Amino acid sequence: MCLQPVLFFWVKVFKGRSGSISTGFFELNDRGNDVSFFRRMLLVGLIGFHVPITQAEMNIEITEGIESAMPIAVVPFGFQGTAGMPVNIGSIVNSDLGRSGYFKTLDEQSMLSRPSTAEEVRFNEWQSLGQNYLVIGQVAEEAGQYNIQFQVFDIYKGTQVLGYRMVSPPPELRRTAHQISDIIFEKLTGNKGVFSGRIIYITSQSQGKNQRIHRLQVADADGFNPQTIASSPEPLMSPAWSPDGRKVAYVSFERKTAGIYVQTLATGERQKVAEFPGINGAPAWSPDGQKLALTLSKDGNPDIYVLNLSTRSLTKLTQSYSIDTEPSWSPDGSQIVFTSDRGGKPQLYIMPSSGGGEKRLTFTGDYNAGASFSPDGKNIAMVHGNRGDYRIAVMDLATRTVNVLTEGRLDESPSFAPNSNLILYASRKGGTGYLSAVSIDGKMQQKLVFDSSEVREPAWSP
Amino acid sequence: MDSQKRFVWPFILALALHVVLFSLFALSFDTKPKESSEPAPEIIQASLEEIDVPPEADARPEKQDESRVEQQKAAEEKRQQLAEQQKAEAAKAAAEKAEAERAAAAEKASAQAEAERMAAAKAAAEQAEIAKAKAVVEAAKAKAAAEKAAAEKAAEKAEAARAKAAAEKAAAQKAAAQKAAAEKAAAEKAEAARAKAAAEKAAVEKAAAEKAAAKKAEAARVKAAAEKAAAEKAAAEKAAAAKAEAERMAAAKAAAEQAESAKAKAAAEAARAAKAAAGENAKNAIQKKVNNSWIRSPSATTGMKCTIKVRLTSGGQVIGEPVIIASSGDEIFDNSAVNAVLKAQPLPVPTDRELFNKEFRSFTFTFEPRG
Repeated sequence: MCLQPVLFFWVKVFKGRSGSISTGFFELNDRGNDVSFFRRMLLVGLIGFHVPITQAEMNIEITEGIESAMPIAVVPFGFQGTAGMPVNIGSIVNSDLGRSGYFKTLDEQSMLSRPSTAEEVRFNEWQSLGQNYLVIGQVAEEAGQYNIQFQVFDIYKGTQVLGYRMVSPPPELRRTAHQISDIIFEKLTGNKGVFSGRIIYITSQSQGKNQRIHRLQVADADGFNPQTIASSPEPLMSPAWSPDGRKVAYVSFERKTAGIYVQTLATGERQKVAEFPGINGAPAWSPDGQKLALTLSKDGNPDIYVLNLSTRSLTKLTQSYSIDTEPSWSPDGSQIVFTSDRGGKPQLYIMPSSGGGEKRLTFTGDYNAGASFSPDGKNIAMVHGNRGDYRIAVMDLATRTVNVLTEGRLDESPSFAPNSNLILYASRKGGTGYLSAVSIDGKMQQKLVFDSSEVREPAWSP
Repeated sequence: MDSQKRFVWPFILALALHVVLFSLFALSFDTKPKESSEPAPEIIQASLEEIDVPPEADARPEKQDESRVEQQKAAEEKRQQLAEQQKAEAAKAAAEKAEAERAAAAEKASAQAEAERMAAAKAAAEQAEIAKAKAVVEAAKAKAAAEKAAAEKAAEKAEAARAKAAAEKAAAQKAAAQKAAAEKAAAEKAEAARAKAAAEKAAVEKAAAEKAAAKKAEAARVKAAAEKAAAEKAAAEKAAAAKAEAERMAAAKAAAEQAESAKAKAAAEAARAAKAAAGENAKNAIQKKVNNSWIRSPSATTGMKCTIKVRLTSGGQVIGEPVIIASSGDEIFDNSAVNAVLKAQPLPVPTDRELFNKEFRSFTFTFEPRG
């Protein structure tokens, strides 16, 4: 290819003498001599230079991949001590990671070996089982405490991803196991884990002959170790965690009329903060923990008020002939989202937390209520209803687009997890209520099963 | 002459241009990388980090230290006491042992004296026995000596008679030998005369035989010469025939080769096309396998792009680690891409060596999720 212009040149140089062959470029004057020798050289040199000097490297495009949970194997932790391990840490980590929906855990029977130190790991063995990551650990009993160490390996790279050592007293072992799950989850998915948090919810049990007992319970995020913090034959509703996680505000009908109580979890003491005539409901803590937004109907119809907990002063925020309820503060404390039917049907509105200037937020569906701000302030979760089918949806505040995440038909009480990624909510199927969690992109779903009959109104600890 | 001169410069410049272009062409070849052996999968020693220990745990070890020191002191004292006790006990034991040894020695001495007495008595008895025996032996010896003297005398008499008989025999033998010798000499003389006559006869016969042989040899030589000539002629003819054959075969071979080369050219064309197809197939196979091994991270969104460069062995195994040359900005997304490539090993590279070296030895992947 590159030689052709050279040959052409050659021919021209010699042939040009004798004949009158000429092209536009390779001109000859009347005498048959070369017109411009250098012009020819330059031209050919430039043409000749299209010889490729380096070859372009091949590139293969990968555009699909598969949407699947990441295969991970959590090996039962090794134990050194007198009696057996009181808490099976490996199995708690295994359940947490598997329940999150992001990971596909390997069952113990399929494991070919059970290493507990780095030297015992054979990477090609785990590769043959198709695992991407491996978690191993050891627990050693020492002077009444437990020394725990764990390591996570990337199976295909053959390297350690992380490794930690921690000390835990016996009563904290479950919590430590959940913390281990959090650390692993955050490193491998980029999202903060919420396994070591707690949840609060209301259960309702029938006692026969039209008697029910209502309980307010706090449990670990996996439903373990539930503790009743309040119980009453009359309904309990709307539990709300304070921002520091130490107190809970809720509505109780124990005195046959609605009252809002604030209870300190560690001591069990509580204070009644509101018992106005009419409705007292939907308490929502301000981010600084000093105020509660409430719904009160003492002035005629339900409106949103803000109660200062130290001064007990009350500020009225909304003033309308419609029902305004279910306030939720933005994480910076500057705005409040609430439900109002001033447009005819329940929809979400937003206003500054000082009151006034209400603006409508939701325009799709015939029912939008139960708003909950995400801790990072970017999204609002809500109950989105259409002709009796109620589902959990999320609105992106930047784009105002609404995504429906769940399948309904009776989903309610959405509450964001502290990592702004998971949403806890209550659902009913076949007459019983249970709790579920869904990720904000709708891809991961988990169901939390409780052995009590009806579970409602969950809230995730901050 | 003039025109000749005008050719020189263009010629030189044309040559220079050719040289430049050829050198560029030569430079366009990639240098072949050395093939390194596949590294064995390493298990890297884990290094562990410690998270902060809560402050309560720190206070406890100090108190433990103090009590531990006291404990150690008490233990030391106890140990010393024990040592002293042990020493006293040892001395006592040594004294007892010496006593016992002394008693044992005395017993041994008395026993020894008893034994010596008994031995002496036994020796005396034995000696009396020996004297008795000696006397008996001497009596027997005297008797034997007398008998021996009588026997010798008888033997001497017999010897004298024998010697006489022998001398007579010898004289007779000598006379007989002399006779035999005289006869042998006469016989030898007759033999010599006979042998001489036989030798003369043999010589005459030999001369005649030699003559006949010479004649025969001549005849044989002539025959051989004639045969040689004939053989040479035959050989020459054979050579000529063989040459003709060879030429014929060469011509046939040339024709066959030409046909072959034409076939080969066609085959080469086909091979080139097949190679190109094989390259495409391999590329698609690799793409498919990596796609199936890529578990998209939850954070993967359209618009993210990550480029990874890999170097492969001819078996499709990755050498070392894939290198991220353009990150997507999300570490977890990049990790998922690297994992996908490693999980898809061995990559289905083409088997053709030349094609592999050209395109598949070192190349890049671009991970870009679409929907």
